[in-house]
Amino acid sequence: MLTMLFLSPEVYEEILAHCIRGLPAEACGLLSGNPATDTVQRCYLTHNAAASASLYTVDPLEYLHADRDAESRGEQIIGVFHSHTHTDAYPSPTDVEKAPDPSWHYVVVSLRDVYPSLRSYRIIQGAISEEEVVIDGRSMIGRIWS
Amino acid sequence: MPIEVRLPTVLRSHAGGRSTVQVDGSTIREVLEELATSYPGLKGQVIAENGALHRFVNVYVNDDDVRYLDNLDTKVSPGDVVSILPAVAGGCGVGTREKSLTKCNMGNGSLSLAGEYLLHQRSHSERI
Repeated sequence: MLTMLFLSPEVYEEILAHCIRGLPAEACGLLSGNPATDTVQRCYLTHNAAASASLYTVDPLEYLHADRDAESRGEQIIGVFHSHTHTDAYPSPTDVEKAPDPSWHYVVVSLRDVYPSLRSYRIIQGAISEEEVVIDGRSMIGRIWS
Repeated sequence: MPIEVRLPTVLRSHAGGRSTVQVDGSTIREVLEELATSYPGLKGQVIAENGALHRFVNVYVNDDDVRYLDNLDTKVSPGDVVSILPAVAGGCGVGTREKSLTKCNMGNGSLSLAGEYLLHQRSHSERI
């Protein structure tokens, strides 16, 4: 059974815009919300401290501030998003090795094609499983979103 | 007065699910060692076997990364908040080469290290 990630259209657009703004480097950010319902309430648009087109590192101090802010709102950091500037929206070997938390959602945005592609995954003990992204009640599996 | 230590989600299961614990210590090393004594599951998670901070773990005293202060010898005072957070990183990795010490997420609340030499070839999906 597919797990799910629930996003609002606003957060979805923020994620895409941040990824496009980050070009030519990869962009990254954190997802905050309710882990019990897999619902993202907000995203934190962080800097890519690696400033690279093939690697990202969420700026550690920004992660600390996001973590505190999420907690103050009764939320938790439940995942991370980052962009692949010229490859698939699929976790790379690097993404799998460095995945910090098995409970997190890993959103990958591909900017390879004309239209961005956003997909989400769980990465547990090195195994990748794609999950359904639901935006405003609409499942994005099988759709082309522009 | 003990020091407050904030734990990342991935390590909370070792502390009975708590996100914050109180430990005593006057340096980061003492705080982390006390943490490992009080919560044995945390042993080896933050300080590596070689006695240094794990490469993929960040420790803050308030807003300061201890790597920019005195590392494990960084002093802490009552009222300080120590935060432990994993490094959040990744990327398509194409064209990069990473030597040794690859963090492997074991999915059981640990951050163990596996030594591996990686050479990332062109990814399966990269277009020229």
